[in-house]
Amino acid sequence: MDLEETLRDLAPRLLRYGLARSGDLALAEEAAQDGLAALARRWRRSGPPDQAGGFAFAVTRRRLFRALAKRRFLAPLAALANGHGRHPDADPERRALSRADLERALAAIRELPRHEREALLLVAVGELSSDEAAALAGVSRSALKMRVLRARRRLQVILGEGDTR
Amino acid sequence: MKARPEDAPGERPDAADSLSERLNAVLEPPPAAVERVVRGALAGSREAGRRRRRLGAAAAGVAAGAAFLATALLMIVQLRRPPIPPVPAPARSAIEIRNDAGIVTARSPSGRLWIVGAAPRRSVAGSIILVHRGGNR
Repeated sequence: MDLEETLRDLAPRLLRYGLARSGDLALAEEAAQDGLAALARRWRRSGPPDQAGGFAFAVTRRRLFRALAKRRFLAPLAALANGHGRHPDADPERRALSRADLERALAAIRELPRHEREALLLVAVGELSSDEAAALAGVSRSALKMRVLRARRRLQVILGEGDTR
Repeated sequence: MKARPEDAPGERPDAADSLSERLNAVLEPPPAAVERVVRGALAGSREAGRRRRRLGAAAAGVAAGAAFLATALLMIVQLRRPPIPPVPAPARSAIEIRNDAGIVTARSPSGRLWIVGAAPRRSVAGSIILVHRGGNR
């Protein structure tokens, strides 16, 4: 797989992951682009890394973490300046998504404990292997699988309770 | 590298896959966003590489310019410095002419003494004249 193919494979996975983590497509785009640009630089400089997906996800996670921390820190100021916080529906592309389903899924994901949420997003949304996700989360493979299992069960319960269709 | 059912032991594979599919369907980004991200990453990494190369070239240019300036300054300082006078060779007394109480005598370094004669009248005090050989004054 060449560089562009790899980027095309990773881009939607990183975007889904970023959107699930932040609930903001614009922020997800920025973080995903940073992760992919870092991967492309690394690829051009010294060849493809052993785990291209893990590399791009590691950079994207860091960017998201920083951006979300900054946003949380500045949220009171932004609310004061605008009268309200940034509304996710300000993005026109975001409006094109099935808003109700998205909001419900994001709300359900947010209800998960942090470690389980991260494990589930890396594996189920980011489509990383258990080994890659475990390395990123800094836990053993079996611990990660246990977190994913628990998160899946919890999420099914949450979504099942909320699903009235 | 799709999420594999065996990643969740004990979970029914169809249920796990169904959940992932539902999540991914809901979170699926617009194709335009995917394209933007890929293009941006490719362009960004190239731009970063160019910027790094430009910065490297600029740093090398600045270093070369600084070295040239330093050399030029050093040369100017060297040119403007006054020439160091040559160190005179140590003078060696050749002959000593002495006026002792109106009698002028001359003594060679070897100790030979000549009586030159009476000193002129206008000379009122004793004086010694040393004639140096090899002096440049």
